[in-house]
Amino acid sequence: MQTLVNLFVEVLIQTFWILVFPGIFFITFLALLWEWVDRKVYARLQNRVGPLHTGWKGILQPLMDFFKLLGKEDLTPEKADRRGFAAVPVVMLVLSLLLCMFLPIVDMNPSAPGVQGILSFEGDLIIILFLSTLLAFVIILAGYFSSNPFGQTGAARTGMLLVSFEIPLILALITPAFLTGSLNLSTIMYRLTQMHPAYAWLLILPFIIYLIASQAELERIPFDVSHAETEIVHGWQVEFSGKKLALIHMAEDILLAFSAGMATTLFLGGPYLLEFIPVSVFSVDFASLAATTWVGWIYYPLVFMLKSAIVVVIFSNMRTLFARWRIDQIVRYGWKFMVPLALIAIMIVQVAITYVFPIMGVI
Amino acid sequence: MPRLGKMQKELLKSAQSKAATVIYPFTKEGLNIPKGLRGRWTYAEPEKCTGCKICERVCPSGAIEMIECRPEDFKTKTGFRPICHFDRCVLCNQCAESCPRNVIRLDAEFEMAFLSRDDMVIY
Amino acid sequence: MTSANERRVVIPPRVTIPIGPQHPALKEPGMFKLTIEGEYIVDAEVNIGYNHRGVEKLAESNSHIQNLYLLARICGICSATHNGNYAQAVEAAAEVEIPERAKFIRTLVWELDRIHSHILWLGVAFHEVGFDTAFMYTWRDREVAMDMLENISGNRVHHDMNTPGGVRRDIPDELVPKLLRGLDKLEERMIYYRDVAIHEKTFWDRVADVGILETDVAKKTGAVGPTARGSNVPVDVRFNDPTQAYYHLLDTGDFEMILNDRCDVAGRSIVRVVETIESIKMSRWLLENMPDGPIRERVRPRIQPNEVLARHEAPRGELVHYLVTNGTDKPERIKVRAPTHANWVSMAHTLRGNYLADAPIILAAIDPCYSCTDRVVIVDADDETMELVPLDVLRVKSNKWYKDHPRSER
Repeated sequence: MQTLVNLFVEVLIQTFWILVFPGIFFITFLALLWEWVDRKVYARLQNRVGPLHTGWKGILQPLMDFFKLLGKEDLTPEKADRRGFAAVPVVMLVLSLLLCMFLPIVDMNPSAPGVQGILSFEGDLIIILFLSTLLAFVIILAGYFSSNPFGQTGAARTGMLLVSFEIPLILALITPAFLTGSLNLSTIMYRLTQMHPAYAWLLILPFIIYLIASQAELERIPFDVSHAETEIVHGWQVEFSGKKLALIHMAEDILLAFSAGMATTLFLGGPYLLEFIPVSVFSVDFASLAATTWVGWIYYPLVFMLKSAIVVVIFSNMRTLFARWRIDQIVRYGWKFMVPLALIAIMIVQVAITYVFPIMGVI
Repeated sequence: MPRLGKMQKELLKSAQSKAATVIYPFTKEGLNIPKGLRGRWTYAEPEKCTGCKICERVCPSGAIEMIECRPEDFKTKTGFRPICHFDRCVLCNQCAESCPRNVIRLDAEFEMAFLSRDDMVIY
Repeated sequence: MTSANERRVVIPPRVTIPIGPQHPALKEPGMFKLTIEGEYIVDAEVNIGYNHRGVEKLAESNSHIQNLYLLARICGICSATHNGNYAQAVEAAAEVEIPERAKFIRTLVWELDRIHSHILWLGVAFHEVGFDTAFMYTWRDREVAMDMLENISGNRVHHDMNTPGGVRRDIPDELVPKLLRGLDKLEERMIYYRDVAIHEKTFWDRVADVGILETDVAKKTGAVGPTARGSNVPVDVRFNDPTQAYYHLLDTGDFEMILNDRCDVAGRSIVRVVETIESIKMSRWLLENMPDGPIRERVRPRIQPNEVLARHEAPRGELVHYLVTNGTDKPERIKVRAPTHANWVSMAHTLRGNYLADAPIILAAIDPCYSCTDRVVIVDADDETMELVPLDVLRVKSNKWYKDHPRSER
């Protein structure tokens, strides 16, 4: 009997984790918050005000937009592949939520060293890369299912974008794995934080490559060819309306949160901040306090959000700074600069850890 | 020379400066309406009006109609007075300019949204 | 196995993509049928006529003063040009010389109109290639020019400054310092756009070597305005055939026609930006050297029979008003040849061979103004059919109509 009750409580707690914190609810909250930050920064850099009226400085505007779209009429084009067309938004949302489950926000498994995500196992980096590629395929399918010339052009462009920027993205994400010798997200993060500070220099180039490549993955300016508004009228999204569009927008916001979270996790040291101060009060006492007690449940998400917010601001700044490139230019720059740069970054890392660091005495 | 990210400095500068947009329907601050704005049509000085119908004839969009003076109106010489069907008005100011006695004016009022066509007839 | 040594070129299927009649890249209805192979445009068909309003026919039943306002409303952006050019035509028909100060004010409004139109174009061009930041900045700075025009004329868009025989409003002396300050601010911003904004690499990549219109093709197809000047064709009515205060401007010798030999969209952008700076200088000169005196001359409403061809350099190119007067206060015939109409011809040529993604910016590069242009569509109100009519058919029809309905009977 006791075991049954325990099991029930256990299931209840895990459901809470997945559904509320740090699961779906929290991720959605983050996504909407980042959209607000993104829009606000974008507007301020353009000398505008941005969202203003819904909530404090318009903070509820993304949520209101979501609700508004939910209430709109939902149309399916006659020629569209009905089932595929209806499935695309749901699949996108599920995949993007699933991706976010891997992000180590709160320590889910205190027995293992480091902060673990809800889903965490050896090799989950591969799964993440696979899922993000799958998402791009879903976008291509969305374009083709809608049977619209604009949608199909958008889908073709998404394919081109995928071909040219998936490889730099993967290479950039592999570099931290390379340094730590693990394919587990939380292990990579934990080992990176334990390493000598000199290793941080090796992560700068992959970090820049990751920022650019994920900008392409998120289809934002200068890489927003696949839903260029003035050219192909929002491309693959053109036929979606109402609930489907709301879900697609939500999935895009969640992907933004995911990209920022990945940058935080792999390049910015994850949800650790005070631990880096080389005073034993912080680096030993506080670290063990946060790792073992409830303090971590508040402290880790806050640090995670702070760091992700910085990444989101960088993303918005990039979006503001550039015009949209043409697809052939994107492919050319992708293959001419990004891929070689990513390969060089990996070479530098390898040379550094095998030859340079031992000479300098860095372990 | 073309270079990536040329406008970054300008971006940061404008992020610090005040937003260029005005929060118009909530405040009228920063609208700086000039003195001679051609706004809402007004029959400003009815006692000067002779009812000569020049404004009706000159109006390019046929917005001005001469009606017989109602009991509450000032009785003009010919017994007619102009009214403006504001939905047709193009705010060109020609009526005010052609009027020999400066009876008609375009005011500085610029908020001219109405709920029905009947509200748009200006007496 | 047999084809292993041969290199096979796979041609993607041809798809026809409609741009318009409603499209986010187009601010007004117009239809462009692009046949594309993959991303390449292999054929382009320009199909206009969605915005026909019968302005010319309507103008025949209006008096000249009413026509001024009607023609100003042909186009919102270049309203001052249509308005001023018609006034110019009527004055020529009435054989009236207008006062010097009126000439200066008219020219000043034209130049300010050009400034705001060119800045608007720059913003649109930025927007077409997804550079929304620069779009916001340009339109913010355009407000300076709009405010100046509003201060002068009392309306932001439809200035309606001209009347047969002069201008309707004077520029008071206390306004002049304010206008000069505005011009200084505009000049500073435009120099920034000339030196920095259009050289942002992502934008430059989108406009350089795109939409090539070679000099000889531009001459052959009769391109006008910045489209032609961007292809190194020296066409500018202000310099070739000056009117109003442009005589005085040219006499100073400080101003010159802006030309560029790049022949692509980038060339047209540079021409427009530099021309704006030139226009700002012209406006400053006009404000500083404005003579005193009356601002209007009385013109009789009835104008003797005459035939006038009035030309003016609108922001988009050469604008022609052909006016026939007949002794009444109404025109016998008024024909408007808007600059965009002259630029359509080169459009299909510039589109061909480019990428689909470049179509919006190439379309935008001539600064099209559909409502200025559309003149030939026949809508049957009874059975709601609509047909586009070629020029020769229209000519036959109109000849027949005028024969059946002589002016005296109407």
